[in-house]
Order: sequence, then C-alpha cells, then structure tokens
Amino acid sequence: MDMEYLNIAIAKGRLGNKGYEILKEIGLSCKEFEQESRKLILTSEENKVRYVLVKAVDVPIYVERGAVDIGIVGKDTILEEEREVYEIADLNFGKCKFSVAALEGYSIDPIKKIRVATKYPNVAKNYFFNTGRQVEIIKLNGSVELAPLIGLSDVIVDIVETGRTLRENGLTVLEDISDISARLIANKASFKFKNDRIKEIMEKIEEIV
Amino acid sequence: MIGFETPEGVSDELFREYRIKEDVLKRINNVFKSYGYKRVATPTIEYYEVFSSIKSTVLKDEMFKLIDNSGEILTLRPDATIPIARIVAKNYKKEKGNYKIFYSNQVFKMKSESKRERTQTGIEYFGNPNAEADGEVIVNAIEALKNCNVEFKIEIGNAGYYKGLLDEIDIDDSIKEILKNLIEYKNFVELKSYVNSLNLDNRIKNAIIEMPNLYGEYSEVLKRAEEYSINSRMKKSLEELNKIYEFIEDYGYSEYISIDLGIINDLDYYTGVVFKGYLANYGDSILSGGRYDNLTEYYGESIPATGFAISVDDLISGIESQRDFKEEEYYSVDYRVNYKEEDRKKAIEKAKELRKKNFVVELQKIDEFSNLDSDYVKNIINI
Repeated sequence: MDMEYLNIAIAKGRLGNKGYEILKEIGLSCKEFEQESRKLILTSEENKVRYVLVKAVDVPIYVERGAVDIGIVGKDTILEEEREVYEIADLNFGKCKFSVAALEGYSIDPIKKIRVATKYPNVAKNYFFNTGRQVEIIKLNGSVELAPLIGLSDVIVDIVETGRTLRENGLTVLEDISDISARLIANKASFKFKNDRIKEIMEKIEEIV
Repeated sequence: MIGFETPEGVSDELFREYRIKEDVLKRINNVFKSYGYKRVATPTIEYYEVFSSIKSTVLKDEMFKLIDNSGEILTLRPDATIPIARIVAKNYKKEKGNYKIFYSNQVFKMKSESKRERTQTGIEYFGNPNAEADGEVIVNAIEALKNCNVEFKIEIGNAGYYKGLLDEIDIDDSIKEILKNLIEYKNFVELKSYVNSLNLDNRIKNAIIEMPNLYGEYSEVLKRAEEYSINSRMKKSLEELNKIYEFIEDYGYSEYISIDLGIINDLDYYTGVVFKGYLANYGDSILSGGRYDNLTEYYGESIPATGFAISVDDLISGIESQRDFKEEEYYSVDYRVNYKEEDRKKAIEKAKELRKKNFVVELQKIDEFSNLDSDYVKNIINI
C-alpha cells in the first residue's frame, strides 16, 4: 500500500466504531467511514489515512504482516492471537475481564484434570499452565455459558463485563485472569518508518482517553 | 502416482525465484568478501545437545530432531553461529588472532505458519573486542542492504544498558520475564502500571518505564538514556554505543541508523551491542545481530565476537513488497546455435568458442522435433 498513507485495520461493529470515534477526535476522520457502504477500504485523502475493515480476530495478523500500519483491537484478541506486534496505547473503552467461571457451588478439585470450555483456547491454556494445573480445553464458538450447565465442561474461560449473563445462567466467577480493554497496536516496521505520525497519535490519544 | 505436495513449511524454488535469490546472495556476499570475510560451510546435521545446552537465540521446541543409529539425537542446523564458534575455538587453540567469517546456508526451524527451511547469510567477527569491530559488522549490514537497492533502517541498542539496570534490582525471574515482554512489545501503558505495582526505588521504576521509549534519532535518545543511567555498566554501554555510532558516521552511513535501547531479546546470549534491520513496507525484521562475547566459553575459550545474520527469504519478500524485480531483459541463454545435422561439428566449434568467452550457449539441431521457443534466448545463430 501507498507509503504516505497511514493504514489502519479496524473491526466492524461496536469496537471499531468506538475506536473510529477516538481517531476522529484526534484528526483522522474519514467521510467514507461515516457513510453507509459495503466498501472494505475507506480512504480520506484529506487526512492521509486509510481504514481497512476486517474481522476483529484478524486485526492482529493484518498488523503483524504489515498489511496495515496500526490497528484497533481488544486485549482479548491480542492475548488469544499472540502476534508479534507493538501494543502502543490503551484506548480505555470496552473494559471487561477474562475470568474463570463455574456453576455456583462448584470448586476446583486440585487432583482432577479440569475440563475448560472457551472461545479462547490459548488464553485458557496459558493461564492454567502458568498456575500449574492440568486442563482439557474444549474450544467452542459461542454460548460458552451452556457448557457447564449440561455437563460438557467443569468451568469456562470467557470475557465478563457485568456478570449478568453468568448470573442468569447460575454461574459465578471463580478466578479473574486479566483485565481487557481496547488497544492500539502497531506493526514493528511501520512503527519505525512512520514513527512521526504514530507517535503523534499515541500522544494525542493519551491526552483524551 | 505420487502427489506434488511438499511437507509443511518447505517448497521448491524454481528458475526465476532461484535466480533472484542467487543474485541477492551475490550482492550481499560480495560486500562480505570485500571486507576480508572468508566463507565457511558447516554440516547440515549436528548434535542436538550442542544447540539445546548452549544458550543462544534458538528455541528447543523449534528444532528438528533425528535419531542416529547409535541412539544419539541429532538436529538439522537451526542456526549458523554456534558451529562457526566451534570452528573458531578449535583453530584458536593453534593460532590466536582475528577470524572474519561469512556463511550462506539453509537453517531449519519448526514454526507453525512460517517457512521451516530458510536461507540465511551473515558474518561473524571473532577476536576483536573493540567498537570498531561492531562498527564494521554493522557497516557490512548497511552495505549489503544498500547493494540490494531496498529502503531500510538499522536499529541499534545495547544489551548492557538494560542488564545494568537489572543489576540494581533483586527480582524474581518470572517478573523479569513479564518486564521483558512489556518492554519488547512497547506496551507502554501496561508496563507503567505493572512497574508501579512493584516494590522498587522510584529512580529505578522511572528508568524501567522509560525503556520502550528510548528509541529514535541517535543523539536525542542518547541524551535521554544518559539521564536514566544509574550505574557504570549502563554508562559504559552508552559509551560503547557512541563509539560504534561514530565509526558508522565516519563511513557516512549515519542516516541509516537509529537507536532502540528497548531491543532486549536474548539477553542471555548478547553481551553488548544488538541490532535489527527493517525494511519499509515489510512487517518483521529481516536482519539481526550483535555482540556475543561469551559463546566460545562453551568451547573452553574466551574469544570476543560480533556478527549478524540476514534472513534472505524475508529480505526478498521485503524487496518485492517495495518494488517489482525488474524482468530487465533477462535471457538465460546468450546464444542459440541452430544447425543441420551435417554441420554439427562446425556448430560445436562455434559453441565452444562462445562458451570460452563466458557466454551461455545452447545447441539446437533443426529437424521436425526442434524446440523453437526462443523467448529466453538473446541471440540466434544459424549455421
């Protein structure tokens, strides 16, 4: 892609829209972004910026490979994807937690292997490995809360925002793994070759968030 | 019938592709030769133990393992530097002095999603502890990339700076690991809150938090780094860096250099200057190196050493992301000599004469089976 443009990967949906609002505030607005369209690449010639709309989980790889210079993505995706990128700013929205949850009354039996259902197998694997426990990971693609209810797993590892979904399903948080929020990530080479622009963005973001 | 697929992570390299690689290697290796580096070759198969017990940049789980008849575990060479250190240490016992070595070979690592067999070329300079040796090695890196007509940057740091900072604190290895990752990934925000949660002196806290920020234009970064420098090891590392920078400046190459003291990977291996090369428009570093004075201790010697390696496949992908390789009127054959059967001897004589002048010559008998495709032929002679 063109050198003089700053290319930004952004997820479709809530996270991306909120991220865009912040970038707009610091002078990276893009009229095309605000119009209803099916375009996936949105350019602002005026602000020399190009937004690339991708799926949230794909943001880190676009950035790692240098297909774009920077990206906005949740810490949950960063932890799960484990890509070689710089994580240069916390955007301070989309705040939630990675937690281990189970049915009320359940307690982890330290001798038994724990069955863990999750959409985030790497996060779950790393957490239990680092805390020295053996687990069997069951990767699911949605409705993770269901797994302990019907005996598919002992616990789940998932994002917890208010805890309402958990409570409604009779689940409770056993352990917190880590805090999550939206982050700005950068490609390593872009960070060096376009440092003036990226640094300016970092500084402006720090002022407003 | 047997399938055409190859195992994961390896692939055939065909004509055009291979020619580009050959050309790139030649451009790089000519630089090495012009500085007096001599080429060596080491075995493709080595003892696994050598690479698993020596602290280096190679990870155990990335190595290919093979079992010998005797039950010994072998590995496909994952890295070129350790075997070269062995060569030097062995020769050093007989003859002390400087050893300037270059290599160009395949290295093998099992990594998912990426190539498992890569072409690597690089230099190692043994025996010289001075900044001039580091400077010369970095100048080689610069000239090698310049010769490939590609837009690049070399970032230089010094492992001693952060090591000096770590000398000041008594913390658990697991905490060091977390700090290392936060600094390496320039995770400014989390580094700050994590460091503030530790029980450390404020001066040290501020210095750690500043680590990922110590990058950019040379003199500006050096000035800031000096402010945070709190012991002689840190100060010495900046003095070293300064000498190296001045050496590179004398070559007129300071425009290619910037500083990043946040390069702190492989601290067990590197003992002084560390550097990485990046290409514009290409994701990852394509070149890395530094000073590793302790490596020959495994072979009972203590020979200062500095060097770097270029990942040639990454370099080529990077060049291609910047520009198309010109199919500048390239012909694989300079002359084709067409002849009729009765004139064969005459044609052979002509071909011999041209080949002696280093032309590439193809002979073609004219009959009903003749291959008349001549796209790749520059000149055609009919006998």
